Amino acid sequence: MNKRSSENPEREDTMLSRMPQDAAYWDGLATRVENRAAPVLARYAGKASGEASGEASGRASGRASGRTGGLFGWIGDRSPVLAAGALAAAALAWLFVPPAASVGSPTVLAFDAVAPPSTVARALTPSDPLVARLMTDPVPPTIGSLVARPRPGTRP
Amino acid sequence: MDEATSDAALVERVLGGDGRAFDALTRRYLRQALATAWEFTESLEDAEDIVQEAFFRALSGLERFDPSRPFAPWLFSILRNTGRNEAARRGRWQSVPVALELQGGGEGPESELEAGEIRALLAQGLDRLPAMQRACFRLCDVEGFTSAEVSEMLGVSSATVRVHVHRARRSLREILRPIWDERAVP
Repeated sequence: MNKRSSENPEREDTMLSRMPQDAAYWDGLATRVENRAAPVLARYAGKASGEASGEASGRASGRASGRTGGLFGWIGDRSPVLAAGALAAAALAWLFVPPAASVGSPTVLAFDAVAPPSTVARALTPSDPLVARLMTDPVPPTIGSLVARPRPGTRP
Repeated sequence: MDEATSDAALVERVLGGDGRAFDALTRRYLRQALATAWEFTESLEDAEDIVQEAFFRALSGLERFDPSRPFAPWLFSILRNTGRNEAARRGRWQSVPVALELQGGGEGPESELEAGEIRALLAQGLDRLPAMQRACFRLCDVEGFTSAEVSEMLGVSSATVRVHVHRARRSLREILRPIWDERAVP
């Protein structure tokens, strides 16, 4: 290490050289360089081992990430605490969702879906017999049936 | 780590986080790096700072290094940039006075006096040289690096290094001529 070039030893001039000649000096300088570089080396080592384990888990699960994947995996890769919090928030949101929201429909339509038509008809039967008939008639009304006046004694 | 291990192989191991490979790579170029860095600054301590910073930058950017190309020119280009930045920050580039920290080598008071006089004249002469001539002369003739090594260190061709060394020697010879003439007189 740090030896002078052997190609032109006759050109060395140790009297004029200002470079340190003590081997311990060079060891010390090399150590300082390595200490400064230690965090970067650690990053490279972590990256290399991460790539190796990532490849292994990727083969096992078919995913690049060895965790849950998706949003929770992305969060979990950065902070397990954040991932746990996100999971808890999602669970609470699911538990407290209103029934109407759970079927994705407005409340009125949900009522229509669960209530029998006859009950609805009884509750909403108006005093007007024509309207009542239209509401209970299984056949849709036509223009003619609507404008025709029912003759006494006959069913419309 | 085997000295015959190629730079490319060491670089690959360093990228895998191998500290021993980085140690080998560092020690392989440490002396050249310090000599080069010292051309950009006055003191050994500043040169050491440049070396540390340059190796750190090189390691941090190692993923961008093209392994099909030689490592040394890439490393020394980072080192020179670091040295230039440092010199510019201190406002001393191109005006750095030569501070030869020469070791005493005389055998007696007379020879020591003579050596001291020669060193002082050399220092004056080197101060007058252009920066590149001074660097080439010092790295080749004083520190003993080959012109090929210095070409990598300074980022110029070997022929350019030899030309600068030749011109520096010629200038220094003129500066030292009075002493030689004096010694020639009985």
